[in-house]
Formats: sequence, structure tokens, C-alpha cells
Amino acid sequence: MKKTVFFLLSILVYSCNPEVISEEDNYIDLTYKEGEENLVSHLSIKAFAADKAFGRGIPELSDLELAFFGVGNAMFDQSWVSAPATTTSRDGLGPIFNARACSACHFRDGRGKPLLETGKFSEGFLIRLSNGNNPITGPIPFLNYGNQLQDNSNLGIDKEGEINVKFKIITGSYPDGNLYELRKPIYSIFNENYESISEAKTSPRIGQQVIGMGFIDALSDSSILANADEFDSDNDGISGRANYVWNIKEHKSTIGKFGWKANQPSLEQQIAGAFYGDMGLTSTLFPQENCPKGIDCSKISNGNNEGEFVEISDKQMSRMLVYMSAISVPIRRNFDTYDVLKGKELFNNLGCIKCHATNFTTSYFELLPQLSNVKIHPFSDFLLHDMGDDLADNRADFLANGNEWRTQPLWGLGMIEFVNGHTFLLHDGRARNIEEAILWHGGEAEAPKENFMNLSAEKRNQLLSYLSSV
Amino acid sequence: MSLTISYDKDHHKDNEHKEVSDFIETYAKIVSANYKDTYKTAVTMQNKINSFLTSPSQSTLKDAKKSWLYARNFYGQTEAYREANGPIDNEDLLGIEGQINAWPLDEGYIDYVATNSSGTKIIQNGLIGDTSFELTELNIIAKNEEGKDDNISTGWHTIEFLLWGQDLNYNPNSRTSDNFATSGNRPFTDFITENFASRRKNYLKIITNLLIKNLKDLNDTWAEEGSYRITFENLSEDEALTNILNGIGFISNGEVALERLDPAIDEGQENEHSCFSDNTNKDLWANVTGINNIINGSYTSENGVIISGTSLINIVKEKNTYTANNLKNKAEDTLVKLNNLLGLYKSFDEIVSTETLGSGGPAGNLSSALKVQGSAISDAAATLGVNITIN
Repeated sequence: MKKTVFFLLSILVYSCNPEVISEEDNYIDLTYKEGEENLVSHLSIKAFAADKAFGRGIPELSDLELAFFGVGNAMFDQSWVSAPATTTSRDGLGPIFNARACSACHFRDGRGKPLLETGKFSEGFLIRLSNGNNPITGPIPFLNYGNQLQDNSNLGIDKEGEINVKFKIITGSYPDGNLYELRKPIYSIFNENYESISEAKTSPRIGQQVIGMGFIDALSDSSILANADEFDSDNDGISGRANYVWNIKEHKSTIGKFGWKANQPSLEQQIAGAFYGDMGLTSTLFPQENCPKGIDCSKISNGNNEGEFVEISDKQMSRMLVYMSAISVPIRRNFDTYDVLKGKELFNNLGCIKCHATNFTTSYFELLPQLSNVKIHPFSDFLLHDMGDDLADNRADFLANGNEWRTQPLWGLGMIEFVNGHTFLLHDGRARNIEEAILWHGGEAEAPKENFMNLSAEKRNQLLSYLSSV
Repeated sequence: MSLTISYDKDHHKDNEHKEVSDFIETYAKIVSANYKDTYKTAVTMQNKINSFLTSPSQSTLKDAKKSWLYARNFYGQTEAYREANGPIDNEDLLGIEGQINAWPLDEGYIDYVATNSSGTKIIQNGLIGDTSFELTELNIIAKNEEGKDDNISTGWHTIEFLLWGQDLNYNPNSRTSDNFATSGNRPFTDFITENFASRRKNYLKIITNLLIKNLKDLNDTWAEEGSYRITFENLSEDEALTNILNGIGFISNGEVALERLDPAIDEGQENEHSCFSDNTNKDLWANVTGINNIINGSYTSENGVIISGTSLINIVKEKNTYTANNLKNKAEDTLVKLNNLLGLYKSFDEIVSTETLGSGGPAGNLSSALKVQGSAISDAAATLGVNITIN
């Protein structure tokens, strides 16, 4: 009823004063929801300089929480070196590794870059490996190589191998005749140093921006399962399901929340896994050195400090966990313009929002209680979806099959270019911008993608404006 | 009667308005004078570094170091103008903070580093030792912040590393790493006979010239009639206030307390700001003073002239005496805690070597005071009707 009145009003305004602006203003008033730009409610932060846009903490932190945040931030930025070294707090890298610092894959707490040229230094790209999958214990490590290819190593140790990349160009057109071009990367591993790797299942991955992670960690199982519809009982073509993955601390399978295939159950395990797999740093959750074949790691130096048995001490881990949990999400920019709000309407009507869900409230979060019971808009359901053959990695990961991916949270999407100077998206960075990322959608997302393609160019741009504002 | 009241109210309003615009003007004057001093003292440093590079010796190296230390006193105060949407770090403007003062840095990315605690064994994996890397300004700029956050190739701290070298704190008698009295002690022969000496010279010259160029740009754009000065003067009062206060609030809490003090307290010298020269205490002085300059509306320039005007405390007082007094107290307390630390006459790495988070030592106390000061700035902003974020 109210809507009709406004509609009439807008026609009246339009007819008295033939300026389209008034109609647009009315539309803005009608569709803008107070506070929608704050994706983590009162704990959202305003982004200023590019350097800090993704690295700012939630506004409510105590003196000691702030201190832990600061220490974690320093640890995140700084390089680790091989032991022994003049530093005692930053040694233990390797023997094999992908990166020397967290920030090497998440520059400015942001997003990594894909490998664009064979032999180039990786800035947030790695290849996962396996020899099949066990639904309970996860991907089976590939003989001599484990779960990922470490393409770097300490002096005197061979790296596992090098990565070759070439691209296949795929062209297509919109129903309105406009052309587009997609670029599919094809990776292969060469110069492998620990016997043949050709039979390994592989999956390329890009480091993601690390914002809002504490809020995701604070989501209850039931809030995630509320969106699940494994057998598509509502017949909308979308059948999200949760991944259940091995939780080291709890000694059982629990819902996977983090990673491109939702293969990590908690923020702590995600972080410890990255320290271990990407940098060769042991911790309480991953105490065994990742030791290449033929090397006796008990005979080479490690970065354990006196009286400790791991390289990332529990003390350091506690700081890192506070840092990672407390990074907020930037307030959206340009959230109340006509085009952006039109784009929001399209996002909802085309069905994007079915997976890129915005309706969550966090549960009790012990580490930082201020993260509890907060309304958040992550633009993800954290569930697995079949995304079609073109995007498939054909490598199973716990319950996720080779076609399934976790819905990527979109918060921060429009700021990646500002922070990281690039717009490469999707699990291996193949999409060169948001539009290409949409066009790569298939499987369960085939229909919404086709809906997008059928839009006029003007409307497609409105949707892209909305996504850039997120 | 009612007329009188409304007159008073309006008068009060006008007064408030004038005070706010005076405060914004004072800020611009202080920023401009501070960047001018920074540029001037850095040019002196450039001359000293040139003399050193022309004839490397113990004494020319010493002069170059001295001039670096002196110029830092002024640059450090300008950090209060970061995170304020201004030219220093707004990428739509100059956006050169990362080129000027990026930190912490991985010194192994630039030049040789020690692999044992006495420094007798070294490894060269740096840009200086990589002869396939052509040393040009553009190439070195391209390498800055390439790959990871601490791959730093330019700016104050790179110059510092090339003048001082690593600070190993090595005690040759006890063979322990607790000799805090010394700072880095790079031999001047690194620029004559050591491997890659001529590349090292060339490198230092290029990045010194680049720093001067960057500082000149900041000076020019903030000078009267400078391009950003004009933009700034045309900002709405709310926008200008938001920018100014977000800057000093964040630098107080998010930068100096969280990035420069707490990590050093928790994990030691690896996280010390000027770890090569042991100038960290003076850096802290400059950072704290820079923030205080705006709170109190006064800056003492290099030639001794004091530039002063309406302070933050003044304009908050117009709105709410309690908030203004609170800000004043917290700012004074921060200075007290700073002076406690400076009064120990110990180097920063020694001070933090005996502190832990929450132990209430001098560095921790200064950090806590800076956090509380940040909150007081945030409260002041709210009183003035604007929102800022300080974490």
C-alpha cells in the first residue's frame, strides 16, 4: 500500500517537474535501508588509506586485546627466515615452503595474485595435491609431496617443483550481441625433485582477503545449515550442502567454514594450516615438520625456542588468532546511488543472493565476546555448490566433490583493486574482473548467470556497480 | 527576553563555528610548517650523504648519520597527518607513505645480513648484490612493497640500514646478544672495498634523492596556495574534522601503540621501529609530539618559531567541558609516560628486553596511555559530531 502511494507520488513529481532525478531520488529513498552499508553492524570500520583498508580492527577492543592485535599484525607482515638466525621470534621457515610471510599471499591483509607467467615468483598462489580423498580424514597426501606443492625451499634443500602456466582464450557473446572474452589458465608442474608427480590430483588456489574472519568463526552450525538444501527440495536448482571436515582439536568431523572448498573447520586450524603448509612452521595443531623425502629433519636446525617444541609458540598463536579474529569489514562505499541500488534489486531478483546470502547473526564467541550476536552480511552461505565443469578442479576435498566450491564471501570485493592493485577473482584468479567472475559461474549458478547475461548492458553495469560497492 | 536568549545562542553558535574553522586553519599551518622543516632538514641530510659517498670515511659517515637523526625529529611529527585522507597516503593524491617510511623491513631484501650472532658470517640475497637488477629509481620503486609487506626498498629505514647496518647487540666478551649500548655499526669500507661497494653507493644515492623528491612534493602541496592546501581549505568542516581526528586518533592508538610498541614489548627488537640506529626513543618522542601539536594547537618549528592557534581542546571545550578536560588529561598523561621512558636514558631495545605485555613497564605504560588518548580523541570527535575509527 505504502509503495503504491510513493509510486503515484513519483509519477506526480515526474509530471510536474520533468527531471528524472526526482524519480531516482524516490527510488533511493524507497530501496536504501538505513545502515545497509555496515556489513558487520556497529563493528564495521571506515576504510581510509589503501594500506589499512583491510587491516583495521573492530572498534571495541580492550587494552590487552589491542596489544595482541598489534603483535599479530606485526607477525602477519614480517618475513620468517630459516633457522638458525639472528632473530629468535621469526625463524623456522621451511625446509620447504611457498611463502616467507603471511603478507606474501595476503598483501595488506588482502588478496593474492595468480601465477601469470611461468617461472615468476608467486604472490599468493599455490597448487594443492592429493592421491584421492577420504571423506573423514580428507585428501590423501600424494607420495613424497604431501597436500600441496611447495615451490620454494631453504638453502641446500630442493624445492618440490616449478609451475608452468598457459592460457586458453574463450570468447562468447551476450544475447544483446556484446562480446566477451574469458581466459582459462592451464597449469602443469615441471622440474619436480621428489620423483614423479604426474598422477597427482591438483587444485590451484589463491590467497583470499582476511577480513571479517572472526565473524565467520562465530557462526553456529545451525545458522549455516539453515540455508542448506542438499536435495533441492524447493526445486530452485540450488542445493547447497555443508562440508564436514576433520577438526584436529575436537577429534571429530565438524562443519567446514574456511577455504575455497570449506575444508577448514575453524579459524585457528586455518591459520595453523597455513603456517604449516605455506611456510613450513610447526605449531601445536601441526607439530610435525613437513619434511621432504631423503632429508632427516631431526638433523637440521628448526626454529623452536629454548624449552619449546614448535616454531609458532602457543603465545604467538594466541596473538595471531586475536589479530585474525578482530579484523573488521570496511563500510561499503557509494551505497546509496541510484545505479547501485538498482544493482541491489537485480542481485536479489536474479537469484545471486540465494547463495551469496546476507542474513546471518553470530553466536557466542568466546575469544572476543564482542563479536557475539552481531548481524552480519557476508554475501555467502558458506555451503558447497556445484559450480559446473568449467570451474571444476576435479579434486575431492572431504565431502566436497571435484565440481563443488564454497560460496565465496563478497564483502570487500570492491576494495580489492584499491588495496591490492588488481581485480583477479575466483579460486585460481582466472577472472580478471567481477564481470568475468560472474560469467564463469555454472552448475547450480547457471540460471542466475543466464539471467545476468539476458540483462541489458545498462542493467548489467548496475549489478556490477552494486558488487563494486560491497 | 526570548530575543536575548536566541541572540546569545546565535552568538555562541557563530563563535563555535569560528573556533572550528580556526582550528582547521591552525592544523593546515602546522602541517605546512612541519613538512617544510622536514624537507629542509632532509636536504641537509642529502648533502651529508653525498659528501659521504664522495669520500667515504669514519667522519663523513658519522655526519651523514647525525643528519639522518636530526631530520627524523621533524618527519616523525608529520606522521600525525597520516590516515587523514591527505596527500601522504591517499592514493588518489600523492600516496607515497609506503615509499617514504615503510616499515618493518626485511633487511635481507636490500643488502647482506649476518647469519650468526657475532656478524662474522654474512649472506647476500639483497637487491644490492643482485647484479642482474639494474639500479635505477624506477626499478627500485617497483621493488618497494613488491611481493610482501616487508619487502621494502626505499625510504627512511632503508637509508638507515645502509648507514648503520644491523644492530646485533653482540657482546664479544660474553658472546651474548645483550649489548644494548651499541647500535648498528656498518663499516664505512662497505662503500669502498666490501663486495658490491659501488652498487651500494649508487643505491643509497638513488633512494636518498627519491626521499627528497617525495618530501618536496609533500611540502609543495601543503604550502600556501599548494594544490592540496587549496583542496583542504575547501573541505566541509565536518569532513576536515573527520580527516584530522581520524589521523591523530589512529596514529596514537593503531600505529604507535599497536604497531610500534606492543609487538616490540611482546617479541623484542625485531619489532623496533628504528632498530638499526637505535633511534626508536626519539621516534616515539616525535610521534607523540606530532599528535600533541594538534591537540594543543602549537608547533615548534626548526628555527624556534612557534606556530600556534586554536587547539582541539579549545573547540571541544565549546561543546563539552568534561570531554575537553578528559582529552587534556589524557594528552598530558601521554607526555608523562613518554618522559618516564625517555628519562631512563636506555635504548629502546634494552627497555623492551625486560618487559612483557601487561607487565606495566615504561613502554607498556606509554602504549596504554596512547590507546587511552586515542579513545579520548574519538570521544572528542563524537562531541564535535563526527565519527572516527582508531583501531
